[in-house]
Amino acid sequence: MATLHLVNKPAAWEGCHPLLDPKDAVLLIEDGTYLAQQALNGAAFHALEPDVRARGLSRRVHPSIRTASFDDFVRLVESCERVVTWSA
Amino acid sequence: MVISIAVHGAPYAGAGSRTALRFVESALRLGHRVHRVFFYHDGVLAAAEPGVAPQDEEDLHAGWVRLGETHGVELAVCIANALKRGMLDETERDRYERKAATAHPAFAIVGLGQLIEAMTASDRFVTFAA
Amino acid sequence: MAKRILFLLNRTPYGASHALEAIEAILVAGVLDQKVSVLFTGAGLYQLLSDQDGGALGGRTVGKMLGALPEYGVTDLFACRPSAERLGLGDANLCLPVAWLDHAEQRRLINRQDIVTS
Repeated sequence: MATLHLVNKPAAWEGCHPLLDPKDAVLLIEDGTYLAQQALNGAAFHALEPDVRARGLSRRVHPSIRTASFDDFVRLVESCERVVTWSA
Repeated sequence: MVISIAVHGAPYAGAGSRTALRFVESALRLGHRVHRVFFYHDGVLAAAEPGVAPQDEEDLHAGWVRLGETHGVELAVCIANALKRGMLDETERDRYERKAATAHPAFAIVGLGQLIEAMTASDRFVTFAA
Repeated sequence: MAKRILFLLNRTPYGASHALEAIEAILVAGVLDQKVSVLFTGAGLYQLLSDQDGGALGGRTVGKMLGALPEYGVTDLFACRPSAERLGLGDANLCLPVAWLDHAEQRRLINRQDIVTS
């Protein structure tokens, strides 16, 4: 993985999406998890599980998006080269 | 791995401070060293000692203090951002002749150089946005 | 040891204090001899608009602070061309010279960094 992108709001997706590299991963966090209800393309997608569950989205997450625990979040940070945070 | 983070959002105003707290707890549990948490922008309000969280809401301030006091994580608050938002330690209280120090002593009020040092001294730097 | 640090500026200059405070961090990174780059994207391009007068709001002028970046050793200033086209902005409207990057060039810029922050 080259870059891990954090997206914390649906509006932040607009800035993130055009800059995704196929080797990148995206972690949807906080209100960014509302984006997980649809198929997204351009990278590997994850959604932070407590944020998904809190918002009632557990059964609405698109099958192409994996849910991630906080430990998974740390592992994603470990395995990337850098983290880019998007916020609108 | 050595990790540092920046927290840009105020607790309760947004979700970033809580997300950052959970991230640091997980990083420590997985055996990483968290070199510094740098509170920037409205993030500095996490240091507010007078805050009282309601019983059915998580006390984020207490969560950060616990990380600082029991896990030795350095909690660094940007001085320029802190002063204008009313976050003062005892030194700044005396310097500016205010009535009370508002920042909990687990937080260190520091210059911006410590933000850049956190970046250069760590393997990963993660920004938690407002 | 010097690191390659990219600051991603995508906020408007006066809607919040975020822009001013981010520029302060960039200046310090420059003073501390890091390899600093700045990328203006989205609404962040408004930070570069000429004729700003922060004095009208009783504060500092963001465009003027950005003008000091080269004095602090920060000369790698980039801006998102697609954002500029969307906002109707170009060299003639800006207070500082920037290098225009399309999306592929921005991806390469990010991939060269040790750290990206905002």
